[in-house]
Amino acid sequence: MPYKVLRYSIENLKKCFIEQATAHEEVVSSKQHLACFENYFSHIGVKTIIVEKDYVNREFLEDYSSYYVRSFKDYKRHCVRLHFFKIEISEEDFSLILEGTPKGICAKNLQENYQGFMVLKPLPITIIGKTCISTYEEDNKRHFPTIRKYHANLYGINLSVESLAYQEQDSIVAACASSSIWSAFHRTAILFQHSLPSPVEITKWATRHFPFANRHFPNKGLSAEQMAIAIREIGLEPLLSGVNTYDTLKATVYAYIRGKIPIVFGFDLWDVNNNSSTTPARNFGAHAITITGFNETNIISNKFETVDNLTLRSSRIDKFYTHDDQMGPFSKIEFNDFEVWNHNKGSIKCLDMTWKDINGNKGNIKAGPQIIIIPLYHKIRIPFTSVLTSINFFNNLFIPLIGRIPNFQLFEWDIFLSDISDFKSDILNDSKLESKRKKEILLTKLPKFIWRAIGRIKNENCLEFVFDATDIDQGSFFILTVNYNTNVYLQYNLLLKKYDSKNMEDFSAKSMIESLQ
Amino acid sequence: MPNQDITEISGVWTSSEVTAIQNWISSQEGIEALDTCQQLAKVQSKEIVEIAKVDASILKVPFIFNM
Repeated sequence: MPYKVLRYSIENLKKCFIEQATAHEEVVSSKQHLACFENYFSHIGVKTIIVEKDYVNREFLEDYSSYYVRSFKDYKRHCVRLHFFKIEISEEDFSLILEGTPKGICAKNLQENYQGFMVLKPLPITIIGKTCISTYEEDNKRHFPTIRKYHANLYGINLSVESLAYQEQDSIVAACASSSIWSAFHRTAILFQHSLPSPVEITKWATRHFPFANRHFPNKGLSAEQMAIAIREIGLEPLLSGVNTYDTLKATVYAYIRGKIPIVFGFDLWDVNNNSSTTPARNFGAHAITITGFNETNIISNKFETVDNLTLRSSRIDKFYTHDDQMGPFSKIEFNDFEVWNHNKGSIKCLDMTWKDINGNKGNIKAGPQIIIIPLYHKIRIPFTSVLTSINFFNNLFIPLIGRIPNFQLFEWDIFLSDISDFKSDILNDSKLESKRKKEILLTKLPKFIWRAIGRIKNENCLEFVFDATDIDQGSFFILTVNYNTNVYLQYNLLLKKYDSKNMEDFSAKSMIESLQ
Repeated sequence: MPNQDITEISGVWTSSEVTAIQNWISSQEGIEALDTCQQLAKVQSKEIVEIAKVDASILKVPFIFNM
């Protein structure tokens, strides 16, 4: 039989892994991924696995033809694909669906309860191939802006899932760096219309200009510089940003991820077992993962870095959801203010990971942020920092008024990249906008990519400034103002009426002020 | 939004509050306070850009982790 129907349990999933892998059972059972999937699948309510045998996976076939096919050992080229459903399906139910005489459960039930698929590669240990699993339920807190639709056809039954592709590194044709770029490309391919390279192609591109480096295959990792080259090779521009602090990391990731762009996050790994000022934390390497979503809380800080009174929505973030090739899809990394102490680097503010340490204990592995790499369409030229500084110039004007006048407070700024379609859909669906102004904005010609800076008070949008993300970083790149709240608009109009902005050094901030006068 | 002369904002600022606000903004104290904040914003802009800069040494570090 080319398929198998299994009741979901972690033991059955483990059996699927063991059957596919050629390594010893104990090695496969000790994979951290299993613990991650056990937790995740119980959360999303998986009840049934349908195993599709002899599945041809394009990504693995390319890796296979580039590397494994030349091995003396006879590696198989066909994979196994596991399909997950959140309803109970029996072998008989599925057989009747395929015969076209369903009783009870039909193909539509399968489509409605589909939770995604996982390809298992015919390798010794690193068997988890392309995996597209539905996300945690999105609510006001959890956000997954980077997901897209994936289609699967199971013996003629059309299935689809909203996800972002994940796979673990095989440590041969791809290390964590290649895997993280591969996941990010799965979204940017749709956003910016480019081809989808396999992990082996990414590794080849990244290492092409480093002829004197150590051997490229088996691949043991890529530097940030090499990752940037791979991104450029696909036709995108890599934006590299330092993220040693919580505020910059949260704000920058939020700004681009709301624009649906997955972000490659590079960090140091620290083992903090018995860490103190006399026992330094142990650094055991650098790791790269893909940030795919975030969780926000109600706690807000009215400070960004050294800038007092600049309140950003991004400071509400308490965790990121990431594709960590060593752990699983949508695994969490959390901001818990944990400081690692090390002789060379002093105190480092780290993020909490869900990894287990060598003793099998959780809570001892921390991530020390280093760098983020954002794959951008070349026409997105204005960086987040430019928009942030213009907003800060504008925001600073009103600081002397805090406490001096009644019923006035500074905005909480929601700053993010967007495309014209999402912006215009939001405008069309907004119930608070004045109808004439709504039509005027909808008919305004705008660039494909824009920066949106929304001033919010108590979670309500009040005033928005729109900037041209494709402009050059000189002069003003401000485009228009959207007024969601008449009283707030009138307040700003009144406060700025007599303000002379001729000496304002930031041209975009100057244009913002003039739009309100 | 028409550029009208605002004398009050219903439920937010009374006409006397509007007058006081406008007077303060155009007073010497108000002008100086706003200028000081703009100078501060200029310094902060440099800091914001500086923090996001990538340390060149990080670019060469390989991300290699595999358990």
